Amino acid sequence: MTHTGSVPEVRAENQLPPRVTVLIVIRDQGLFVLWALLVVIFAIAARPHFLTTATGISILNTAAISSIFAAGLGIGVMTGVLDLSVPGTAAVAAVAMGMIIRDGGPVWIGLVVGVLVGVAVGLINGWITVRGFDPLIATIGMLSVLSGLALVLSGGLDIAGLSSLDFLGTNRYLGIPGPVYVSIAVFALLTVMLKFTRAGMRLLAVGGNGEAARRVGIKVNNYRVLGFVISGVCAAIGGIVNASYIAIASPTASTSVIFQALTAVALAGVPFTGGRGSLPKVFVGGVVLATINAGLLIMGVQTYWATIATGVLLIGALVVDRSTNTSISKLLVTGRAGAGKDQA
Amino acid sequence: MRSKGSPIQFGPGAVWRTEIVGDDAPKEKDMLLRKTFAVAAAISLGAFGLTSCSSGDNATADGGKHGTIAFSPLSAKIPLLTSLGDFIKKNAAGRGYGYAMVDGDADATKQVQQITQGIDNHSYKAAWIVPVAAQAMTPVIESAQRAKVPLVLQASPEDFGLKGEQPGVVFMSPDFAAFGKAIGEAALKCIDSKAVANPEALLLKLNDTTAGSGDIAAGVNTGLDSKLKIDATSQAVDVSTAQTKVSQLLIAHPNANVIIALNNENAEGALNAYKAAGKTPACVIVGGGNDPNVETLQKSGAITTLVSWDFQAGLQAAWDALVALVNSPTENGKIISQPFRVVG
Amino acid sequence: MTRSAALELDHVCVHYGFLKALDDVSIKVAPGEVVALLGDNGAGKSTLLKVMSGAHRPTSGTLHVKGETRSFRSPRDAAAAGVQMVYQDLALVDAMEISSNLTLGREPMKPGILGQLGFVDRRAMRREAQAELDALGVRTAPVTRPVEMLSGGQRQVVAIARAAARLGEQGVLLMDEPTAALGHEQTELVESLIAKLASRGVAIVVVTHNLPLAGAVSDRTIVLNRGRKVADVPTRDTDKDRIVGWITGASVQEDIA
Repeated sequence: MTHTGSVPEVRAENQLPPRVTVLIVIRDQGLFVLWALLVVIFAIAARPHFLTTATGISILNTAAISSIFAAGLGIGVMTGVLDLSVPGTAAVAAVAMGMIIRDGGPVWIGLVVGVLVGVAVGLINGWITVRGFDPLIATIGMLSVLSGLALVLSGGLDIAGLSSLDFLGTNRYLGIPGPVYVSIAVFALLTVMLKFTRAGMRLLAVGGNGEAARRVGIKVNNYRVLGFVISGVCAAIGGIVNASYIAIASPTASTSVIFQALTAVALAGVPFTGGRGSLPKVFVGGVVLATINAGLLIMGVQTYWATIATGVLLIGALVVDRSTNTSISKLLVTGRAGAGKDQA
Repeated sequence: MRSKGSPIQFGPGAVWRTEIVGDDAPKEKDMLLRKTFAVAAAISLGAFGLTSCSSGDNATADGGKHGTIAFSPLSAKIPLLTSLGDFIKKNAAGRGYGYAMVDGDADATKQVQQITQGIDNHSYKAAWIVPVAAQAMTPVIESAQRAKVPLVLQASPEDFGLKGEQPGVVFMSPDFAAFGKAIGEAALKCIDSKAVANPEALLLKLNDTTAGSGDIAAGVNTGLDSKLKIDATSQAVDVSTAQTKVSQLLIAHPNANVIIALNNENAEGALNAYKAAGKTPACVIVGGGNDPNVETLQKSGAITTLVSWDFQAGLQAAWDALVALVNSPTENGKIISQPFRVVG
Repeated sequence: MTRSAALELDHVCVHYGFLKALDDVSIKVAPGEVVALLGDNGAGKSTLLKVMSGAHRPTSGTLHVKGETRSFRSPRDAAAAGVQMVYQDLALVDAMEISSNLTLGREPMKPGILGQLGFVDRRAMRREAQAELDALGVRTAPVTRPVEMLSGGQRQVVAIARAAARLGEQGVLLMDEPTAALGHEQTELVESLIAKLASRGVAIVVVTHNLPLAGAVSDRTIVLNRGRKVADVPTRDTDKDRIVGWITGASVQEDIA
């Protein structure tokens, strides 16, 4: 093996050792394997109704609605912020849209206004954070403000009868309900942005090591605000889709949405330290949760077991993630056959 | 250096003008600093004052000459309960009592703490409580009896392990069993009158932790008298979850044609789910009501029978019983059964 | 000696209240010259680096880059003037690959409409990154490898390459403890990188505690003690003992410039 001496040459390693590659595969694809396992278990335990197209579509639909929120929270986490104001944004967006439709305005204006609510909230959250205030506390504060605002706008009442939104919420196209298309579109757009555009790369850089980004001249604050805006828009879209699904715009912000979304994000292995993550896996995380709920419902099991199962799964996912990462690092540092310790 | 001041403006935002008299008048910069502090302090005091005056807040106080009557609803976000509060306020004012609202905010511990505090420090002359969790109210009863503060408790003596009338407490309890039985009987009546062939029901329940949910469910079973096949049961407290669950249950039980929903959200979700599946249920029996959307659905026939608590009817009787106790707090309070209506 | 200095500090002082972190320090670095900046903790090395890199403004004194007087308000200004710094903590984004780290902030865009929409040309990115590494004569892990999977020495190489790529014509490279966490082999690699860059005309200032490194790589040695320059000599004209004496403050160079 050539050693460094007076020649600045390092042995070019073009391939990682095979065991490392396997571990990386487990870490990255583990969630799919887990989901496949769940499907098999429920196919047996909840037969015959579980393993049907209809159930599959129902699971997909449920996952779609909650995953939109998970996408927003996920992007927030990846760019280094935890945006807890999501349910509040969803409520205000839904109520704003509901009010416009109820008072006779065209549906498309309602939709646009709803999304703009998300943009506005994102900008406010971002502005507060770049002033130096703790983003966690700022978004919790915004959550309170927005919850109250939704109630004030709607007079405390639900806005029901939004059947003009059926095209978005319940109608099926090629057998698949509207929300699934919306969710897939959101995920596709965001994934492409994160992986292939400069803005996406810089967002992840800011989330991964804000200091490093700053030192190469990136305007970190701008990207922090962008992260919040994306999160806010996802929250608004989630609220809009939910209101379309139930044909009711409800002003009560459901904080359980945060936990569901965070669980999907955590199941997808997105580290809360920021800087990386796979959005498609976040969607699969949502699918896993929906699968558990559907399977247990068909089996007639109490809902509590669903939450217990979810929690156990989450801890399990964390353990697997940590142990594969540790093994990978160890193997990279020491594990090459015959290799010395100080390879540069 | 002496200072004499006179207030420029009264009220929570009082700003005192200070005249510094003496040789060592402070420098201009000092004066500016002091003025800024004073203004800042005044503004924050003013803000404090204003927030405590706003309505719909946790504790609003409006002292009357005979004392204050406190009203603590389960949650101030429920419009029905806020109108109950208005009823109490009006009647209290008519008799020269002040009114204070203590929002339970769906948090049993908080509700108990706040009411106990008000009783112990003699802020309240009497209290009307719609408990978040009835059993948690035991310490409140004890404090109230010690302090000779009469109560209206929307619960039953059995909730506290007591039997019969108690000194100083008016119990207005819903007879959950009767409520449930009425729902069950309504289901059978509908099936008979519409001559439904092969009736199969989905029973959509409340969370087990909601007060009375177990009793209501038991009552339903009594009313059904095993004459109706229940395909499946599920629990939900929000429309979206209910809708998803019913969609999935319909896949497993496509012939379910009777909906028995024990709250409004389950009813709304179930109706949406059936509509999305292109089906119409033969009988829809709902225990809930007091909600404009649900009442519209009943009037239009989408809901066959609505069994709802008639809060108005019970109010006057309870109020009169409370007033009697205010004058002699050690007397036994009446036990009033909360009436309900069956419509459709 | 070359005519005009790449970097020149004239009578720079940095005062924090009564504390003098830098007291009348003047330094000249010529293009292609490697200067080792030595001194004990608290001697003022980091403050001097901060002034050079634009992170801190001097209380008094002037700074010139390539003959022009400059006043840096931030590290961004310094970078624009051609002064790049490699920090001790490297400031790399762990989750991203080598090529992304190298091109961060100057990502090549796809041609045409896609580029307008913000799409990055990944292939060009990787080519550029490889080219930059090749120009330094370093062969390391493939540019698609995430930085977190690299060894300490490889990460140092990437950090140096990133700074070197942004230097431009006869720029100034500042290095803060570049071999602090490295082993012997990796230190040699860093030494050869420094030599290579110097031969390209880059002026280099290396802050280090590592005397052998300083001896191996520098043309000139400057020692600070309590904010003052106590020595400024060509490296070959001195030896370890005298340097240690200057560092500890036991002595001061007799004919200091």
